Amino acid sequence: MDKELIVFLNEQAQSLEKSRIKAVNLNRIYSVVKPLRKLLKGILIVVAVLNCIIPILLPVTITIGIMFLLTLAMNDPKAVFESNLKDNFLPKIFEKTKPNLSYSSYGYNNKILKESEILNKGFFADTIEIEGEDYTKGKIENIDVEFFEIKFHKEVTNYTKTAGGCLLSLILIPIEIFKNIFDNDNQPDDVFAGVIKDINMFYSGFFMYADFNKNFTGKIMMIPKQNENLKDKVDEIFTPKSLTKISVENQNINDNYSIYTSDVQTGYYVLSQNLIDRINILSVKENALPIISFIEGKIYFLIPWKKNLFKADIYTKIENENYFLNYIEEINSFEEIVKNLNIDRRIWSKA
Amino acid sequence: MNKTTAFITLIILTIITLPIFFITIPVFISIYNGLVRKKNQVEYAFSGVDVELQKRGELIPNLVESVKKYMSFEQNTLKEIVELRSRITQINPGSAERFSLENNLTEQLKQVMVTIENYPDLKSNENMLHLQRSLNEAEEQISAARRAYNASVKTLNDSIQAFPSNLFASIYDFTIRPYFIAEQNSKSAPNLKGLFN
Repeated sequence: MDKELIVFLNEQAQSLEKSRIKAVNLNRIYSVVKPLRKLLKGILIVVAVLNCIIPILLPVTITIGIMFLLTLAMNDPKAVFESNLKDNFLPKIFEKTKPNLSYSSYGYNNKILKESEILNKGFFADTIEIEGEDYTKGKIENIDVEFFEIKFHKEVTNYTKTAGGCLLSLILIPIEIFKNIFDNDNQPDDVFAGVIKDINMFYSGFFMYADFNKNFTGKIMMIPKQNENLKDKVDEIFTPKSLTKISVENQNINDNYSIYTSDVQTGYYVLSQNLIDRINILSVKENALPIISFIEGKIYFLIPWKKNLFKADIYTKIENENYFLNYIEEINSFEEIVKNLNIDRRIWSKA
Repeated sequence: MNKTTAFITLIILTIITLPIFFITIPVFISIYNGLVRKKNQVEYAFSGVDVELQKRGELIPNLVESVKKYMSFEQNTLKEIVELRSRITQINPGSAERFSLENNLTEQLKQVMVTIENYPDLKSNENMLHLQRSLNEAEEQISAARRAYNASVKTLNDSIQAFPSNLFASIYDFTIRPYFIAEQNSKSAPNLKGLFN
């Protein structure tokens, strides 16, 4: 590392250390507030139910409700510290180490995600929410690139809560009936009875977009067989075939992937034997099968992973510039992906 | 399997499955049509190879013009390239001899590309750089076309040899197709001796 960078990182380290100490102190208070919050939530639910039978409990319900809301005002200091690192320190580090890349802590490029056509697959059909972070954009070796971490969420029936809700309804319905007999307002009250759904994350990964090193028209999709579901197979049989399925020379790839292309020769032109071998090596190294699409001269790459980029720990003391070495390595890993796939090799007609 | 055996086997199968002819007849039609589609796919892929070879051929005059002023010592190689190209345009496009000549041409072009490294002025020439990229592109497209052809040949050959489509293949004279394989001389690396003198 050069001297100027070391001086800069040292300054950042001192500033971040102050932030870390503050977070550690707040975390001591939070370690009390968090269980208290759960306890108050439980008490509030019980008191709210009892309030339906014994209306005089209303002031108690309100008091507990206010106390619960006050505990919500305190955010997790660990998350705040990490957020501070990503919002205020990482962009400056990117500027110093990789001036061709810009960074923002949250966000993703929805337009590029749609262009990739990865979301059209049945596996992602139930997605109701997408969350992106560590959005990096710019140029690597004059190649346009974008990277971000991405999480897909879908609604899942929570059978425990649904059963609990039904049980509660069984208790409340007779009470309501009994109450309505003696109630003169003729207004029926609502008693909730139904399926309770939670929003859960079902896929977490790392997305990359880059300008591919060959000119081509059409599309090629490499879908891991584990990510193909019944909807895709039914679509393949019953919808007009705009894509042809092909096999490549690497048996491991053929066993794990279904490869579709709009034109067979274009498919083999894009998926050279060299590229196929590199994808195979990358999937073995990461122990994961990426979903890859090549569309109109661009590559879109989504690999599942549970890593958290630029993670921050409030218990790790920040003494000097060495604290940031891990982060610089992670920033360099973006370039590594481009080089590993050989996208920076520009020896064909596309400069 | 010979034609007679295939025909007899098919007759026996038809008789056995007569009670469910409403299933077997569409299946037989589907098998025959599948063979026809695969055969056509092979011919289509073959024409793809031919198109890419033609495109490469069109780049050669430009290449020879660009390098001959600089590479006065490699005149024999350039002359051979021009002659090869001329012969290719005159013979039957589908003949084995044509592909042997194309492979020979590939080797000569590779040798020229390596030799260009000895001429810094030529190597940095804008036109030459563009030409190198175009030739690389052409070679990559030829490779892709050959792989696409081999894939379609594999699919056809699998159907010709596997049961029950082999019965129809024998009766209707569908034959096994050869793959594109590299010739022995093309498997050797280009001569780099000149680079280190």
